[in-house]
Amino acid sequence: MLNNIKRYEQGDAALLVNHEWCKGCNICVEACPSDILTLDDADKIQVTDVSKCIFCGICAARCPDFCFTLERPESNLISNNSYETYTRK
Amino acid sequence: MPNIKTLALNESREMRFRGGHSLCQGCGIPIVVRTVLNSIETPVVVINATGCLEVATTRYPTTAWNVPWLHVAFENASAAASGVETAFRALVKRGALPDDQPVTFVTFGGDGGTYDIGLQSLSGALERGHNFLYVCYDNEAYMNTGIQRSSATPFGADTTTSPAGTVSFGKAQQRKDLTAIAIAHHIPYVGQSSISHWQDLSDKVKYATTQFDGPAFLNVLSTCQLGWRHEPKDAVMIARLAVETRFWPLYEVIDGHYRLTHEPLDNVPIERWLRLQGRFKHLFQPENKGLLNEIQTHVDKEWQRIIDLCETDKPYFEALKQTHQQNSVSSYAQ
Repeated sequence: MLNNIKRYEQGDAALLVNHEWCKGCNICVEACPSDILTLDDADKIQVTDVSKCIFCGICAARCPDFCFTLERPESNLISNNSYETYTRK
Repeated sequence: MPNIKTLALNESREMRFRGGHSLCQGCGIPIVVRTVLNSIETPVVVINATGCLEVATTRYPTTAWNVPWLHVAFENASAAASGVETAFRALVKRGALPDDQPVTFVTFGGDGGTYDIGLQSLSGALERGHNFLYVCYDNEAYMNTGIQRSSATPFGADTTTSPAGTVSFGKAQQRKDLTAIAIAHHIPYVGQSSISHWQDLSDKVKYATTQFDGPAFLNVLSTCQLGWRHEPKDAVMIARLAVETRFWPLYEVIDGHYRLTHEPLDNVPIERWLRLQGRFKHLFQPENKGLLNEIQTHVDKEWQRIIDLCETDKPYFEALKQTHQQNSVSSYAQ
């Protein structure tokens, strides 16, 4: 199954999409702010134009079937940011 | 506190819960599980009550879990969690496990396994003060066994055991307020969240698991496209509407003090939420107009009760915010 992951790159960031796991619910299509996700004839997710992807991660946070994985250069910072301040609202 | 990118990137760091499961198209449960597990930084032990989540993620010989995971029956998930947590503490005390490596114990249960069947073991575990987080994913009926009514099912909903037709208009009782029951145990943290507000849910999990030694309870609204009869693509939007129509207020209770964590939009009538779901279709027949008013009245009454409590506790949270700013705890450093 893991052989079916497609890699969409833009600079040093990448969006990894596992088409095999997709059940075609369209939640990511609704959520994508750049409108670059669509279902193909087999009801599997496809990325139409990765150059428009802003790597926001909404698809990865929403997909119930874990089709999306983000890779960004700052990945190694994850474990250190637990108490960073942020603004709510 | 993670932003959405961090939350998504945590996936690639450690896959605690993964795809390939057989939950339905557009199910809300994996969104709850992922947000909860990705918001916890320590190692996690998951205790899972019977329900959709357990059945669909562990079909022999496969599993979607990549953490220590224990499945028990509907009624004793909290009792098992108490045992696991106590065993961990005993081993630390005995020196068999290091005392500087905390582990978070998370219990997942559906509304059937929490509101109805597992309520007494949950109540016992909350009362004894075990250090664990109970997450109830509330999809408002026994979806796993074929959409039977539970005590979480809202008034007027059509289910297989409260069918709408010529004699009945669906469930005739109001739903049970489990969050209020959990609050009545005087535990350190109780929260109510929804799959649509991932930041809110993530904040609450983080705060509940890092700031207190003691039980925490989270009631998270999930969706079910089969039972609620809506389009799978609308899952997140419908959960959001439940919050905006004030049916599902997002709030938390810290040491008995109420705080509203999301201010909904003004005047969104409950019809907006009901109309999108097939289980409420019959309420829009002309003869059922009175029921819609009844639902709206109940929602308004509950909402008023919550915001009155939140208003009273504002000074407490002002003080708490300042303490947290001094200690740089992120959740309240607005």
